[in-house]
Amino acid sequence: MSRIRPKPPNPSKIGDHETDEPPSRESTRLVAVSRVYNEEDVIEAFVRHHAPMVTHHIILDNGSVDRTIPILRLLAREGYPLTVLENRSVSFSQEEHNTMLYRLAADEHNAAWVVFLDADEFIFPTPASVRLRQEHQGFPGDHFTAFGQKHGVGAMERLLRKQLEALPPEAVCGRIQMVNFAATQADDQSDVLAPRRIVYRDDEPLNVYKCFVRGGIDAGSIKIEAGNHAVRYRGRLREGPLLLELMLAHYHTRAPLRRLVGALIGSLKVVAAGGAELERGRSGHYASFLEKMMRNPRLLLDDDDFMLNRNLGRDLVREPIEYYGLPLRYTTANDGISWALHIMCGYVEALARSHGEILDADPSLRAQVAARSQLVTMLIETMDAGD
Amino acid sequence: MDNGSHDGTLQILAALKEEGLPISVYLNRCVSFNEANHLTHMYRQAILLHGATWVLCLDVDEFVDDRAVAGGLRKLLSDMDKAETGLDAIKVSMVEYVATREDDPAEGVVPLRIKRRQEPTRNCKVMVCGGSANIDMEILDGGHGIRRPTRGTRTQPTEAVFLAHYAERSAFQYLAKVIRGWNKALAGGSGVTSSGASNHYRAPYEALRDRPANLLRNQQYMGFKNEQPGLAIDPIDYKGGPLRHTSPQDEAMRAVRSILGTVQELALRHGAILDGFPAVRAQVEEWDSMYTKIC
Repeated sequence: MSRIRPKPPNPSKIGDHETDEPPSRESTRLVAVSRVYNEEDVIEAFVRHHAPMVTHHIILDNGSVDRTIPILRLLAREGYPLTVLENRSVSFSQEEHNTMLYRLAADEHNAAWVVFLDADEFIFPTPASVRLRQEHQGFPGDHFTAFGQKHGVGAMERLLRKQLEALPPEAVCGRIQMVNFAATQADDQSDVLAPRRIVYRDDEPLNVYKCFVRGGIDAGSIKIEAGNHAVRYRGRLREGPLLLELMLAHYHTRAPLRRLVGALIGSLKVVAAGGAELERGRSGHYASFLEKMMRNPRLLLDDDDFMLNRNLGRDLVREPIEYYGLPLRYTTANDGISWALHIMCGYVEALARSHGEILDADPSLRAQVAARSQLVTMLIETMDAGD
Repeated sequence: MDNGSHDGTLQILAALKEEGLPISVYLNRCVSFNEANHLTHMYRQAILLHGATWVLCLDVDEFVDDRAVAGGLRKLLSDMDKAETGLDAIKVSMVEYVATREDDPAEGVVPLRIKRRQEPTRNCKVMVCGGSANIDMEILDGGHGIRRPTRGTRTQPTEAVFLAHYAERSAFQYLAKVIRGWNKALAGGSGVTSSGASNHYRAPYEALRDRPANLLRNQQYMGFKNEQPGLAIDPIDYKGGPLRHTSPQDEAMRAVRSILGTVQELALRHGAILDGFPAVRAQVEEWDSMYTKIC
């Protein structure tokens, strides 16, 4: 292992493009980039599923303490074109990491397009796209998930490439729409392959998009926003045209405890980053979990609707996506409570170590923090006995 | 001195105050290991604000057992004052009480519920002479000893009084304590971890972190792991009245709240340092921009 840091922006590239139109690259090398954190239940399926679609996959691990990294090592040993980096930041710094990943993909791997994906997101062809092809090609059957069976998994790479190449040259990025899939009681819990186990999705897709970004843009002029939902190019926010024939299946609620722990750590990471991130509302969708757990954990842990995946009030349709990867070899079922404890310990320890390293690095800061830690607030005072 | 409880401790103390109990409660949200300073601070507060002639350094899981002294602890200390022994402190041995399957889970008063004990340990806590002449006294970590910066101290062990120690009241309470204990030490930096003051938390913490399923499925561990033959039945005399503010225990949930409270406090402190010290933020961002290539 070696410590690396991203290269600084190449001065020769900055200012090369005085128009708003980004550069183009001749060969369509698709490089996926992902930030992951404790994804042992899904990382293998995620890498195998997207491997037929991309030239290379760069994965930044943000300090997983589960089997995410060992599984990635095994996949690399199998020959998957992977680069795996580790960064143990305990606070929220998504934009910096996303932008670094973009630069790595564009500069080191000569990406024509950088495909931003989280580990719980799986690309699939839209139903409309598949049905259209089925009609044209006379494919027997009416289920869109048979796209790969009919055309071979290589067709997905061609479809993705074609979609990206069809974007207008002035487009810095394209965007792909997400649709939430929901764990339900109908899932076969013995199936460790998440996109096959979780078969129900929301009837309506989300009004949320992820960005696929054109490569070769000078590093100083682009910044990838948190969540990879948009990019800032030459100071302007860009979302890009929609890729009509592809969608992202989002498996964010694979298990209730996993969702809960993820929300707690997400919320704590924002708190650990300081007031500015809090004020920007970064933890908005996580904060209610932490607040409830601090007040009374049973509000969530005894909530059957939450813990049993009842999905009340959701219109769900049964329409699993097709999985394009090879069979899983390394993913195993885990014990929810033990997993949650292990993951929480991992985060607490990383945070405590970061706090300790900060104090170690600067004796004067230690003295100031020690002085602050002496601050005592009087909460209650009564008279002495016998007074 | 409450170090940032999130489990209802402060509400109970407020209710006891309403009853008229003579208590003062301070809040300090120190997330790192800084025990000696806080104990010394409280010792001095006891002298300055309450005219203490003796200060007992007690943790919340320690109960004075003075059955062997006619007239009790007050009489013992009063007699020592009169005898002008010149002692600065007496050292009181701790006796570990052990939760067993015989305990009545419906009994909310810990010293009434947990009745079996081990033999007295070599661990001692100090009961320290007060008075303005001793204002320079410093209490050591854990309240296990004293020191003076300018001159020596005189201490003497006593076998008349013991401290009944109920360190492990339930498996979940113990697990939360271990997680809090070791991570507080880590948050204090290398000086604290290398001092060894929290080393007793390290091995159980690492076992819990690395092999949680083994521990959580171990019935003995999650039940009464310290139960063993030969423990004496020797409950102390509980001198308080019936409990009015302690609700039936939901130890697992209390542990969850306690751990989350510690982590949240740590995260807040981490964020406050970054906010308050721009140079530190720059340094942390520099660290955050470092990547290790795995494969």
